[in-house]
Amino acid sequence: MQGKKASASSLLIKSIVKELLYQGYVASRLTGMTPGDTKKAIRASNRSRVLIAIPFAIVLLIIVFEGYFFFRRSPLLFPLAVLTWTFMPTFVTVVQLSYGASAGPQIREFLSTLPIDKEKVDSIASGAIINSLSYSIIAPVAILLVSIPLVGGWLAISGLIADAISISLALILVSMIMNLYRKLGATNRLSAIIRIGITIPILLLSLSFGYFQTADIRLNRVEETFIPFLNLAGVAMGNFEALAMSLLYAAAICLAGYIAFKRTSVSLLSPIEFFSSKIGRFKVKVRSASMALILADFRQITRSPRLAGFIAVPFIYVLITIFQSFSFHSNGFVDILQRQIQFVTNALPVVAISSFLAYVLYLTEMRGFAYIETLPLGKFTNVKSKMIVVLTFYLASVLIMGLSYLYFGFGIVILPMLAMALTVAASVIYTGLYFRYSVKSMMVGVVGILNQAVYTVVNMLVFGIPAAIYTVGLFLTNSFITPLPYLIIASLVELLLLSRLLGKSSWSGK
Amino acid sequence: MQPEILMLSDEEAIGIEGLVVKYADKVAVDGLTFSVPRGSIYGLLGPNGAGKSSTIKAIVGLVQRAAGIVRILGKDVDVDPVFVKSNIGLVPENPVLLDSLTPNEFFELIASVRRLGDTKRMKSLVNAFEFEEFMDTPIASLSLGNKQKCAVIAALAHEPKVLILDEPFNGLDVRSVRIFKDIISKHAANGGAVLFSTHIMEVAEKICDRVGIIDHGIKVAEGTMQSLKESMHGSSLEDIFLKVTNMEKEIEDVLKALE
Repeated sequence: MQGKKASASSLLIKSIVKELLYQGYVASRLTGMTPGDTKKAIRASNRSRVLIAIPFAIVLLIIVFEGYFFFRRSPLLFPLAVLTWTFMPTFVTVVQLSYGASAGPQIREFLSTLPIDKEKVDSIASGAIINSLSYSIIAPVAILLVSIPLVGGWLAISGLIADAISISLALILVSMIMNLYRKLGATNRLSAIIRIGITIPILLLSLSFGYFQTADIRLNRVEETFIPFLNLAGVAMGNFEALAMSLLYAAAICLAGYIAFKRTSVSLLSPIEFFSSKIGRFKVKVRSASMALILADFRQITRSPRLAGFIAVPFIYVLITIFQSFSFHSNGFVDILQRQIQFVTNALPVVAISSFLAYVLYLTEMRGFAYIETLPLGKFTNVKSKMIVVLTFYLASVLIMGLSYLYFGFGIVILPMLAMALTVAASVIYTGLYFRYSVKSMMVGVVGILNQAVYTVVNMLVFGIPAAIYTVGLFLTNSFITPLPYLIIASLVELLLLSRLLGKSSWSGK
Repeated sequence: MQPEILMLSDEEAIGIEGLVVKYADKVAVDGLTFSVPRGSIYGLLGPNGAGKSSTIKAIVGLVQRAAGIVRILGKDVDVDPVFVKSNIGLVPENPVLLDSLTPNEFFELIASVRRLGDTKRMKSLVNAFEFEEFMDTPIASLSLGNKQKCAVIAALAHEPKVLILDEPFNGLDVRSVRIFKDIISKHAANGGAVLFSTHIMEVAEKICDRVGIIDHGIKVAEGTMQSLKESMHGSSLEDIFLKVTNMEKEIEDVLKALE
């Protein structure tokens, strides 16, 4: 009988994992549109579990190489890098997986109709989510184990402990957010602040990593043995006491993470409940189609969980940049090469992140696709409104970043960043085309949250080609001005080509 | 069934010729041809998965057509989509709306894009469906029936000449169904055209001037209620439906097996 129970549980977990991945892939509950080729979608959704693991693996590989080349001089940096950069994908993936499932109450209702107690339901739900992340958990562990010959056993062990801590912290954070949603409601202004607020731990982790990367921190014996997190440095240096203490801390955090996550896992598989029943009227009379769409987009930005978090990212990056600029300048290196590197590592990601904002805007609009699509809008009207919203956020980021660069005597960087607004605009048109074609042809997984690979690659090309042309010119000429015309020409060519493509597209999506 | 050659006329509100919709290698709609004259209600009937929703989605441009021509008020939807969209009102199969907006904000968006100078019609629809109390509630927290009301109001607000309704009564309460049916009838009486899909035979029988029955994406019967009853020797639309979709014998066998 016990055996039967166990197999029923594992069958349930397996089924929920399948449903989670399928919904994460096709997002059919989110959009109301089912994929044309369901079998293909199911096959692809199963593959998506591997797909989610890829970013984890890539991030860890980069850290391992960095560990080999740079971090051995400062032992805390390696585990801290693992902790910081595995926390983010775990957190984002759990949120995205639950978002895919949260569009409908099916999983929760299905579980609640079964003759099993709440404790068991919680275990099944948490088991299903952790199971769907299994490759993402295994991938870093495998890479860290394989990296032992390269980085050494102690560094790898410190990374493994940091990995366990980061996954648990991410699960605790997700649980806390779900609890806050339940307490405060999902539509009031406070919860919009929470959505932006959830990016603060990511910001703090990034900032602390940046701080430890640039500051010359020396830990004493007590700190590197007993202080949580800091004692990972002790582990990296082969301190057995530090290892014992950090294993103890890690076990406590993992246990707390599991308990917290188990309690909220059912909520993760449920629709986001809207407890606050009314939204105060903020009357804005607009009679222009573009302005109406822009207003709707801004309203959704402040209320949609995905958008509120996403728009905060460029600004977070700007803050990290400002922080790093202070660190770099306090260390006294400001030669042209450092400025070029700073441009590539700090300014270009803001362009990249902003160009993906259009994707999230369109994804949110998918909820009302049938209505938006049957409104009497010209082909360019919707794209134009998205472009205005995206460019507003991009230019706001550029403004803040530009002011900080001006302060550090690096104001010239504002010019290429302003010019890159053209390539951001081009990527908005590409995104509009992509969504238009994908939804009309009901291509499998196109609007799925996990299936962003094709879109991501092409979009990276859209902003990447002009950015690459400029960057090559920048390093060849050592000038921020000389390659600027090439950047502008490449972006304008893209804009023109994509606009023509949009102009040629028909209503039926042909 | 061979597609009929339809003549474009001033009376035609919706004209479909040889419509084909494919999902990967599966043909959902296979060469469908029919027309809906102005001032009439056309019911698109069929069993589950027959291709009704795919037909409607293809007509309003929500899925790609593999072949075929769609005309609304004499205009090819690919040639003048903005004109077409200005003149249609759609109630989709699932009332999936912009969740984070309130109905008030959603209607504001619709009114602005459709350039409705006067929102009296919208307000009277809100009153008619007793929807005032939900106007500032986020759409996500509305019940299915209230979401459907929201979809119906959005479709009717601009007084479109052509109404395209996919299972429009889903989730609506009895009062709202009655009001909506009356609006549909009056719309046709005033010269508007209505295409609606349903699997509820009684509703189709009561309000449709003409019905088309499709099965596996192919039109298997079409005509007025009277002509279908005469030609198919059926006493009700349900009988005719079961006959043309070859379900009569199947149902008998199933019932025997259950006994």
